[in-house]
Amino acid sequence: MSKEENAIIARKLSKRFPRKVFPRLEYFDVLRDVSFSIKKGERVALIGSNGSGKTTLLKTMATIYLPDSGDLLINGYDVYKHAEKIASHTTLISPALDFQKKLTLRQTLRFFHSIQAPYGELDIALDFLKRMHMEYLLDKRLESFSEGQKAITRIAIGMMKNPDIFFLDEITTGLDVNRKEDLVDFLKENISSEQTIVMVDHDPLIVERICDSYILLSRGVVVKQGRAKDIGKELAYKYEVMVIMKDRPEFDEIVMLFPDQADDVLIDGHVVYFRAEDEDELYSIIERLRLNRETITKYVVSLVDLSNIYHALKPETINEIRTVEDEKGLPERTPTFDELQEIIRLFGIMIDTKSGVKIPPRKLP
Amino acid sequence: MISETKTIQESALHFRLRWLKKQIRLIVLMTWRNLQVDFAYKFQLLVDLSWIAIDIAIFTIWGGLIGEAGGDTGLDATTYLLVTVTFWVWLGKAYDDTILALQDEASRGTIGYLVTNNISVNTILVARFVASTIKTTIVTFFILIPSLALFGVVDLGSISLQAGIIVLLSFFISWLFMLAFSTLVASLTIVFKRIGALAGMLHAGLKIASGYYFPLSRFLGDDVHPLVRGLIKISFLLPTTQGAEITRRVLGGGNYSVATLLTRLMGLLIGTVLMIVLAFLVVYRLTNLSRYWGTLEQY
Ligand SMILES: Nc1ncnc2c1ncn2[C@@H]1O[C@H](COP(=O)(O)OP(=O)(O)O)[C@@H](O)[C@H]1O
Ligand SMILES: [Mg+2]
Repeated sequence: MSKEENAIIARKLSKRFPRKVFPRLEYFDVLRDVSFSIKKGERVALIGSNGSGKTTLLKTMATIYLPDSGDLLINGYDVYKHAEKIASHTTLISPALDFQKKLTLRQTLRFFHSIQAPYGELDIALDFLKRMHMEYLLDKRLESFSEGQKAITRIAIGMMKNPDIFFLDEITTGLDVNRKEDLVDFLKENISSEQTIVMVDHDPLIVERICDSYILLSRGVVVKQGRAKDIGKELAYKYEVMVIMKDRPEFDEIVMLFPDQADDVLIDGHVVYFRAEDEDELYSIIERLRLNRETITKYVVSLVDLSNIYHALKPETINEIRTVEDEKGLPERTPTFDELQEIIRLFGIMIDTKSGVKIPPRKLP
Repeated sequence: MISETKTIQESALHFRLRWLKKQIRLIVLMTWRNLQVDFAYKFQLLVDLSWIAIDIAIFTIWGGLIGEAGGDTGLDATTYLLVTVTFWVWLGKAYDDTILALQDEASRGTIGYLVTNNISVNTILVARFVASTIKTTIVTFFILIPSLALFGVVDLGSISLQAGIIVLLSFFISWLFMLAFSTLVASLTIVFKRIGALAGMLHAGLKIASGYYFPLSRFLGDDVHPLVRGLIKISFLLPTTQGAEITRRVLGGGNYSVATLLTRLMGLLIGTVLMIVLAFLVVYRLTNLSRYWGTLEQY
């Protein structure tokens, strides 16, 4: 395969940050020996639980960070030597990026358009804003914008650059369902087959609709790569039902009220999570909720959130991940699926696969 | 062979020129954006203006209490101090703003957007310094110039063309010195974050050394401890002191000869060139370090 066909090549890429600087410099690893390649025009999803290093990887590729070792070529350019070149052909959109609030949307767009020169196209941003019904805000200062409107503005600025590679970090966060739909449509229509996308999103539907493939990260290690449409196959569950109970429930109580779901339940204070493998199971949970309607305040059904992916993965996938991590000699070990189930059953706690097990700040039921 | 080498050299030069042009363009754009933001905070401008007015009032009284500026200056203390205040109005404010610039951009969350869109840390700092200079010029135009004329501090008519040019040059070079110095100190904030106290001390140090609070030439008499005298002599070598001294002697109507002015100007120029080189090295290294340590967006 010729070099030009690859938009991104990472070889044994490592990134660490100082844990403390004084009195002695100590580091902690965030990315360890990450290797992958992404073809020009490919759309790749980075998935992994919180803290697994997704944002760090995006920022390293976008030249905000320098790797500590390994090779990273973006568009054939070496990140160590040609950061400036890479920056002018890539765009990073992340919720952490913000603007001068005293400027209007128009002033902000003009400013970014002029510093992106000669590559940007103002019309892309204007089209996008029109599509998102935000034209009427052009002469408003950004300080008056809602979170959703700011998210749109970020995307508009990033899109305007018309880059070779998009790094999209949780860009649908804060958008309502309709806007998410509009955004996905716009991206699909306006990003050409020459342009590459590397994105993080917790909504499996968005990932499935935009991406061709995925890279699964766990504690800074690439543990699995595959086709985006197979993500569903890796998941033991598809849906999640969040139920807010009127009273703090005991585990036994839940088992009594929802006998069929006792295996897949997670209790967090007043909130109970059920998970369903398919539509049939989902309907049976909802049926149960109807029957017990006097004990609950409300419930929300959603697709499994990819930021909690380890809750939802199939046992064999988790074992696979563990094998990869063992090969890398990671000091801590991801709990097996059975262990996870046992912990959830015993304590009803949330699992953070990065730090192993994390108990949320609340009393145990 | 020869012609080939020449082409390569030419294209390298061409490349540098293009790069330079681009950098200047980015500085101009960034300066414009800073001014747009600055002038959106109207109350802040009023506060800045009030401080200048208060400084002028205080130093007028303070100068009256001191009497003569001493040494071979041939100036009364009020004139000495007011001209020094004027000299520092631009440089001091620009320094303060520049020190806060990166922290400000980081805490607003804007820095990540800038650095991924061609604006380097260096550009942010230089543009902040330039914008503050312009802002101060606009804000003070209506207060500083009239009050200097009103108090009879500056008599423009008595200044020779030669001395006038030297003053303008010395102000410009002092401005470059402070630009480089501010950039250097401010770049520490991308790795070490809060450095307000250190930055403040350095600022105060430069001001004291240049006779901002008191004409140091008063302390050069024989009754002064040799150590103090030595320190003061050293402080006279600082570029900002040279710049302030040239400005005071000429604008205040004190004693000077064109030869001594030129000597000072040379000292100022050498110090400034050294500072620019140092600032470039430090900013470059710290920017790299911040990319390794992931501190750029922290505050
Ligand atoms: N600039 C930084 N300085 C220090 N630590 C960081 C920095 N950025 C991220 N980290 C740490 O690196 C780890 C991975 O973070 P991140 O890449 O944001 O994860 P993700 O996006 O997958 O949730 C976390 O432990 C986080 O605290
Ligand atoms: Mg993240």
